[in-house]
Amino acid sequence: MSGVSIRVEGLAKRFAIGAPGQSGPLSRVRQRWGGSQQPQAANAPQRTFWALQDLNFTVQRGEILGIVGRNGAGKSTLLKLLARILTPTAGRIQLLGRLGALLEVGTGFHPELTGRDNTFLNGAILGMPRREIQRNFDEIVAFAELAAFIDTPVKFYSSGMYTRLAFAVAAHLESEILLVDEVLAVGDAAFQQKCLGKMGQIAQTEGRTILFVSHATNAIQALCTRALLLQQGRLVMDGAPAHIIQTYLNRFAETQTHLENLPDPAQPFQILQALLVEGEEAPQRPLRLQVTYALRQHPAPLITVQLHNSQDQPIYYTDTSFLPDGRHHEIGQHTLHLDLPTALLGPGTYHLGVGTWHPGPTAPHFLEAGLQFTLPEPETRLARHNIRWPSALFPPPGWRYLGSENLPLQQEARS
Amino acid sequence: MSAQPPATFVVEINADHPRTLNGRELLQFRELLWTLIWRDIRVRYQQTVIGVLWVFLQPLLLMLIYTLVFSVMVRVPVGDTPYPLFILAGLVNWTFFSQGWTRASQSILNNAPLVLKVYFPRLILPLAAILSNLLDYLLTLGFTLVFAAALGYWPGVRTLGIVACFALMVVQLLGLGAWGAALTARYRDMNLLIPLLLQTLFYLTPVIYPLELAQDALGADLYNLAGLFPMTTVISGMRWAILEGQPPPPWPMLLLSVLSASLLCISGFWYFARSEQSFMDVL
Repeated sequence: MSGVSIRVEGLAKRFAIGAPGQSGPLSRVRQRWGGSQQPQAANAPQRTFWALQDLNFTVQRGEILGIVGRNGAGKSTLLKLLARILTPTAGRIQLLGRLGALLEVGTGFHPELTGRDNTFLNGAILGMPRREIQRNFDEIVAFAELAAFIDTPVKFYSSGMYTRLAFAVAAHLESEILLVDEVLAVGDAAFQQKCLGKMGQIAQTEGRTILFVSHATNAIQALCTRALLLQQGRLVMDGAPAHIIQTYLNRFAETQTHLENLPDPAQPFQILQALLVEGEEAPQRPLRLQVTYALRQHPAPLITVQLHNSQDQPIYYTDTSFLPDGRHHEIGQHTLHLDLPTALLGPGTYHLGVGTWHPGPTAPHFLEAGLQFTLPEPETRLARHNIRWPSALFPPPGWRYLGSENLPLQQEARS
Repeated sequence: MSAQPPATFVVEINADHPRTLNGRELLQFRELLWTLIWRDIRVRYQQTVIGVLWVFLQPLLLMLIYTLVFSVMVRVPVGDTPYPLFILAGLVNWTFFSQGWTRASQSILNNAPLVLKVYFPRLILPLAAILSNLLDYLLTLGFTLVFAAALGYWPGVRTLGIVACFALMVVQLLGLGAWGAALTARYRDMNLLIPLLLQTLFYLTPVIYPLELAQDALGADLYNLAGLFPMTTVISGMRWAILEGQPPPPWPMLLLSVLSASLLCISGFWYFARSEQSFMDVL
């Protein structure tokens, strides 16, 4: 029992959905006296949703716990509750030890202050006593590889330097419990690796507890000793990281291969149906995406398609600006076919996002369509020995034999 | 595996515990308070050419303008005291008050990134905002005392009154700062309202004129009620303590202002603690 570091019992968090500032005494006055401006807002029942529900777990000292789940599964809410930024709606949390939370890189950095000043500022904000920062200062600067610039205001830093300094401070936090959110998603890969290494080392040698949230499943697998899988605010699995990640990636895939929307004449543009169909040329099986849409009013958006691999990395994108035929811009209902580059892809599960884009500064928006397909292991020599295909791509093999020659020089050299 | 000593630092987070003002927790985070004060001071004078000289330049310039308007152009009767000294003794305190309130009110909003990403008692932010003005205040107050001494107003036992007046001012500032910070986080209207209130208060309180002027105009009863406003007694009290010959604020007024300051402070902390949890949702 003395090894317990975090205890969570019946934890739940509910959020109200709606514009901020819609509640509170002044708004109520405004709604009452302000007349007809927002008659519905005053009467409408407040909508709520549970970001977390009935969460129970304990973490032992020295454990590195990975938290896995899709967007909106409640991972960040959990970290914010542990970090005391949010207050729970129900349940309790017990933290045995000083807690440091890294929910963002360089929280509180002030651009006008020098690297040295920001080190102390950021350290204090993260809860490091001044003595501790002083003791580790040289090490922090060396870790960040910024010795030459430490007395320069950080507004003159490149974004890489900025991130390195912020990480270096964080990596030297000596709190017994450390919460790390997605922050490792930024920064260059080599430096990320250095930070992960430092964290792992501290957890092992100093018995520090680390809670780590990330989409980078490989980082979780490499670093964590245990993992939790959250789904829609509930804890669905607790166990070894490799096992959890496998389940997570499989669940991520278990969705329909068919998207259908009821026609709504009020919408100027609507994707009515999207589905995957098999191509004819059997051995290469170029999968096709079939999209049916209704354009009821101009301007027509571009239809966009994005392919993600099982690690949720985008690997392919295209849109209808590449379609030479102009008829798909006309008002009416149309069906398109898109040959997917499946002949190039290695084995694994892929998700397809179908969306739209209107010319402008915002990136294409993809529907959570959940179209997915799995390409099986290719029948190769490796596969016969139960070795998985070792790369992301599996294009048609490009080997060709050019002919034979006698090589007398080599034979001479050998003898 | 648990060779380490048991953790001495235990935190309980409970759903049904409403947040209240927690003095012990504030004390635990004092290091952050100092760091934030230091940051504010540092940033204020970073990249300025004359740096700390601004601290003196600002009240001196205002002193010149007010002397020109209210002593040369309009003759405000201030007894035997030279008007520049009279106005300076008021201005120095008014500046501390108005800057403290303004900065404290904006403190939650301006530090939104911190509030959203790090836990600490939020009261630290308005506190740091108020205290970061303390250095400026002490410097200008010292300057005022030297100026007064140069004109023959030597400090005496009466000068200790400064401490009492300062304490009263801080209590008023804490209350107003807590109210202002919590309200500004939720209602941005406060950013527009507070400067207006300060402007009004500047003329309601005896910064540019002596308190007796109000007494003559309002009569004794109404006049004592002026103690309800923040700063009325503080400014006339400060003048009494610094400048010999200036009358002290009357007792009923003093009592009234101590009472109103305490109420302001208690209610401010109460409202702040109540709103603290919702900062996340409104920032």
